[in-house]
Amino acid sequence: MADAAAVAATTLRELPLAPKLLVQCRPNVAPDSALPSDPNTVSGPGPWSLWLGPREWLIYADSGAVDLLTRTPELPAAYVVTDVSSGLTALELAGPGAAEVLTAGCGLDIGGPQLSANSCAQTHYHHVPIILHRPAAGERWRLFVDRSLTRYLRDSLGSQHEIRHL
Amino acid sequence: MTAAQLHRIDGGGRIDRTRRMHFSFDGRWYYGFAGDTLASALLANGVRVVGRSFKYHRPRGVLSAGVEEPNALIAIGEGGRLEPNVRATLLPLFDGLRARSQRGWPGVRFDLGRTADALHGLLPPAFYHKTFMWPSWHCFEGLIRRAAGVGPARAAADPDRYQVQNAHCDVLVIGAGPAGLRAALAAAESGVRVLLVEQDTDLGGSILSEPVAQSAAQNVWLVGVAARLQAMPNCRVLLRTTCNGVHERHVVTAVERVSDAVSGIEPIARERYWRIRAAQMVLATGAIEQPVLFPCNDLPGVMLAGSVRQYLNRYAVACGHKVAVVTNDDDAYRTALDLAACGVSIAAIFDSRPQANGALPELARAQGLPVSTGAQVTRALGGRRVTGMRVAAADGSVQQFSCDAIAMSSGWQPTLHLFCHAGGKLKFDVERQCLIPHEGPSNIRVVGQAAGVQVTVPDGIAAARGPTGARLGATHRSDRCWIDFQYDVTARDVEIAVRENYVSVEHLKRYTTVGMSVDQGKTSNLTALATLAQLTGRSIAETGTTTFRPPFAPVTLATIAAGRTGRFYRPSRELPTHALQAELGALFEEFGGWQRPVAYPHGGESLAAASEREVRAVRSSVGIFDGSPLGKILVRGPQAALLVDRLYANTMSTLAVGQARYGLMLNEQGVIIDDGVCARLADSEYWVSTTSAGATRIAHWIDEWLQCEWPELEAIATPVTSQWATVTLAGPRARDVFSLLATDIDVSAGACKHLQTRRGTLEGYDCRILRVSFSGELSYEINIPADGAERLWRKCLEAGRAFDITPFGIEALMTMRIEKGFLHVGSDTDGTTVPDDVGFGPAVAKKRADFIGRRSLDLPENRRADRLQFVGLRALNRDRPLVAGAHLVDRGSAGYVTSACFSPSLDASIGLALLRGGRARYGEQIRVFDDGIESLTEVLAPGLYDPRGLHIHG
Repeated sequence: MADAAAVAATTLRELPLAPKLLVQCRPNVAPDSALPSDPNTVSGPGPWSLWLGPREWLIYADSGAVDLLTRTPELPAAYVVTDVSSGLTALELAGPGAAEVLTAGCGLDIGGPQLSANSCAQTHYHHVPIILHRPAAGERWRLFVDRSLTRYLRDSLGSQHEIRHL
Repeated sequence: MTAAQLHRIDGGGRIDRTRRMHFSFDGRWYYGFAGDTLASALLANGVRVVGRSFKYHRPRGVLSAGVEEPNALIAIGEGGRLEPNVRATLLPLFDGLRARSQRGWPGVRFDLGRTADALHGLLPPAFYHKTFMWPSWHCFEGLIRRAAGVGPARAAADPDRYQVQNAHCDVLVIGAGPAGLRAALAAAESGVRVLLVEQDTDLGGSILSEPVAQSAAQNVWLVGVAARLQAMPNCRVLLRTTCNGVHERHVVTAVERVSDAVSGIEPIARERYWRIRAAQMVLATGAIEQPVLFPCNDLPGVMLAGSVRQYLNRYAVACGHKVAVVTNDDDAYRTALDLAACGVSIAAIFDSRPQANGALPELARAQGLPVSTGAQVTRALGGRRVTGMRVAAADGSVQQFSCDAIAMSSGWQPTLHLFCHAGGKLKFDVERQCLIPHEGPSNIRVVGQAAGVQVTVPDGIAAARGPTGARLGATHRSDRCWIDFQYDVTARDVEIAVRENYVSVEHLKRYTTVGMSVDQGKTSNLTALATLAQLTGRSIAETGTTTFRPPFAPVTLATIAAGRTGRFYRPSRELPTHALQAELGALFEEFGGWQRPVAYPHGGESLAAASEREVRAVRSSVGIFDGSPLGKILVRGPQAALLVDRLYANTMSTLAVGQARYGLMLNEQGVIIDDGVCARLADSEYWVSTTSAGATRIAHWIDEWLQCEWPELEAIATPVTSQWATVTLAGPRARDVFSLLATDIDVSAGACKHLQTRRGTLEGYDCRILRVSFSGELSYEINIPADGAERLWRKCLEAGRAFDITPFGIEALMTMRIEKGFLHVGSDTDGTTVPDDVGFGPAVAKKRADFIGRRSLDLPENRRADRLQFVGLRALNRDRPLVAGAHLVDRGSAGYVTSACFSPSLDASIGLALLRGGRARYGEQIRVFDDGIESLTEVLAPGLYDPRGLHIHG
C-alpha cells in the first residue's frame, strides 16, 4: 500500500485546452495503418492515437499549438472525424501514489501488465466514464472525461485521498 | 479510578506491559496493555458479564477470542461515531476507549428482561411465527418490537471517511497463520504478485496462541517470514482485514479496519472496503472451535478451550483461578497443560470419550492433572458467572466440582465460508467429525487447518494445533443446552422443531433462528446439525448443511457505501457556463443528472415570482437560456437518412438540407422513449437532438441498433452533447439581439424560418443555429463549441441590455411549454404512451418507410379509442390550482394530470393530462381529485397560448 506521504505527493492538474479528435469508421472497413489496431494500445506522440474500440480512436496532441485537424492522416471516406476538443477535458494525475488514487475508483489492474506504458483504456472512476492513457512508464496518467463531469471527477479523485490540485 | 487486574498473569504473553491503555466499560474505568483486545482486557480485569442474550436476556460472557464471538458484542463511540455490535474479541485496545454493553435494562449486570428466561416454557422456538397463528400477532407486537434489535442504531450522520480500493493480484492468500504464510512466501518468491490478507493485528495465526517461551523456533520463523514478505515489492500484506465474501467472477470483498472510533482524532479513514480480483486464491482461514453441549453451558465463564489458551499465552490472562476442562478431543488438553504451567489450578479434565490415550492426555496425567474419561457434565452451576459443575462419571455417580471457569472443546471446524461463497462443496468427514472441502473451483486452494490438515513450521516443528478431531453430538440431552448463545437456541428447541416436523436443515434454521445472529452460526451451525442428525436418526452427511452466504462477518453500511455518499452519491454534471450562471444568481437544482438553474430570483423574490417574471420577459421581449444538456448526436454516412428514418416514428429522409423537423422515437413496443428536433446539415449528415435526460441513453440505444441489428448500415452516430454548448435566445426581440452579435449568419425572417438550421461564424466560433422553440416564441438555439459558451453568453447579455434581456431557468421554460402544450417525454408520457395518444397519429400513419416500433402500433390495444390521450386543462376554480399527479374522475379514474403550472400569460392555473378518450372530450368539464379535495377543470386541446403559432413563426 502506497503510504500517505506517497499519496500526498500525488498531483492532479487540468491540461490546457488542446485539439482532440474522435475518429470512427464503419464496420468491415480495412484498418488504416496510421491508427493502432490492437486493443488498448496507443501510437504517438505527435499526435497520440488511442485505440478506444474496434472502430473508434481518440487523437490528441501534447501541445495546444498543434493543428490536429490539418495534421490528421488522410483517412478514407469510410472514416468520420469529429472535433471533441471542447467536449473532453484532459486531467493528469502524477506522482508516487497515482495508481493508488486511481484504483480507489477504477476496477482495472492499474499498473498491471495489461496497462503498461503507452496503453489506454475506456473505464470508469466510480460512476464517471473516463478514458485512461498512460503515456510512458512511471506514475503518470491522463484522464479524459466529459467536460460536464470534470469538477465531479476532480473532487471525487480528491475525496478518497489527500492529493494536491494544481 | 481503576481496579487491579486480578486475572493477569505475571510475565509472559505478547502484550507490551510498558504501555498502559485506560478504557471504560459501562462507565467504569479499567486498564489494559498495548497488544490487548478489549475482550482480553475485560477478562484481565475480571469483567464477566459483557452482554445479554437476545431472547431470554441471560448473562453473557466472552466465549471466544476471535471472529466467531457470539456474546461480547459491544457498542463504541458516541453520536455519529457510534458503532454497535463490535466484537470485543477483535477490537485492539486503545487508550481512552469507551465501550458499553448493548442490552439489558437497567443494566447488563442486572437486567429485568431476564424475566423472559423464567417464562422460557411459554416462549417456544418460533414463538414469533406462532403468534401469527394464535391468538394474534397484535397481542405481542408491542413487546416483540421493543425487544427486537441487537445494538443501538446511530442517530447522527457519520463524520468519518470510508475508502474503497480495488486491487489485483496473481495469488490472494487469506489468512496469515502458518499455512497462509508458507503459501504467501512460496508464491511471492516465484515472482508473482501476492496479496496476503489477515484479520488479526499481527501475522502468525495460531502461533500467537503458543506460549512465547516454548515456541522460540516458531517465533524466529515467523519474524523471518514476515521480514521476507515485507522486503518483497511484489507482496502486499493487509492486516486487520477480513475477507467477507467471494462474489461473481471471484471478486473478493474485504474490510480493512484502518482506525477505530477514537474520539477527537480525525483518522485517514475509518474502514477501507477492498475489491480484490485474484487469478488464484489460497484459503488459509483456519478453524473454529466448537462448543460442548451440556446444561447451562452458556454461563459467563464457560469458554472455548482454544480461546482460554489464547488469552493465557498471548495476552497473559487467566480466564479463571480454578478451571475445569470439558472436552471430547485431545486438543483441549493443551489448554489444561498451559494453564497448569502458569500456576492456574485445574479442577479436572472431563473427557466424554471412554478412553483418552493420546500423547496429550498422557502428558496431562504424567503432570498430575486429574483426567476423568467417560464423564458427562450434567450441569454448569452459577448465576452471573460459573461457580461449579455437576459431572456424571463413567460409573454413573454424580459429583459436584467447584470452578470459576470452564474451558470446553468439541474439536475444530474448518472455516470454509469463503470456499462455499465461491461455489465450493463441503462433505462431512466421519473420521474427523467435521465438514471439509470437497469440490471447488480450480483456482481456489484450501490449505492448513481449513483443509483439516496439520501444518508444521519450520519443518518438523508442529504448529499450534493438531488435526481437527471433533466428536459431536455425544452429550445432547433435552435439558437446556445452548447451541446458539446469542439467539438463545437450545438443544431442546431443536427437539421441539423436529417434533413439529421441521427436519430439513434449512427449515430448522428459519424455525429456530439458529445461526441467524451476528456471528451467523460460526459456533452453532455444526452443533445444531449434529443434534438434528441425532434426533432424526440420520447421519450428518444425510442431514446436509445450510448455505454460507456473504458476508462472512458483519460489514457496516458506511463501508459498503464507501466513497459514494453525500455529493458523491452519483455523478453530477455542470453546464459549460456554470460559474457564470452562479454569478447571475441562479438557483441550481438537479435535472436529469445536471445542475441547472431553476430560476434567477432577484433579492428576496420567491421561486414562483422569479419564474413568472422570467416568463413575462420572454413573452414580451427576450430571454436567454443555457440548454447545453440537450442531447446532440451527429449521424453521418451515405445511409444516414435511412438510419434516422428508422430511429424516428416520422419521416426525416425528406428533409431538405438546412431544414429541421420535430420527431418521436419509439421502442419496439411502439412506446415513446424520446423526442426532439432532427436537422439535416448536409446530404449525408443529420443533427439529432434528444431530451437532456435521454442524451446518453439514446446514444447507447442507437449504438446498439447499429452494432447488433444493422451492422451493414453505412452510417455512424457520434454523441457530441458536451462538445457543443447550447445557448437559446427566445422572445420577440431575439432576432434583434442576435443581429448585434459578430456573425456572418443571416437570421432575418426570410433567411431563416422556423425549423431551419444555419451554419456560420459567430463571435469567432464555427456555430450551428437551429431556429426551434420550446417556449413558443421566436427562438434561436445557438450551438457553439463549449469553450466559447461563456464568451457568447456575455456578448448576448451585453447586446441584449437594450431589450432588458433576462436569463431564464427551467421553471420558466416548463411553464411556457405547458402554455404551448408541448410534450415533455417522461412527464406527459408513461410506459404505455404511443404516438397517437399524443396526437401524433397522422404524421406516423403517413410514413411509408419502416421504423422501430412500427409493427406494435398496429396492435388492437394501441388503436383503442378510449386510450389515455394527451389533453390540455384549465382549472375552473381559481383557488384550487391544478397539480401534477392529481386524478381526473368521472365514474371512476379517467386519467391524471401530467404537468401543471400557473400561467402568467393566461392568468390561470393550467395543465396537461392523459385522459381516457380525451380528444373526444374537448370542451367538457371534469372533476379533479387531489389529496381528498375535488375541483372542476375544463378539458381543452393542448396549447392554450398562441394556438395559431403567430409568435413562433414571428
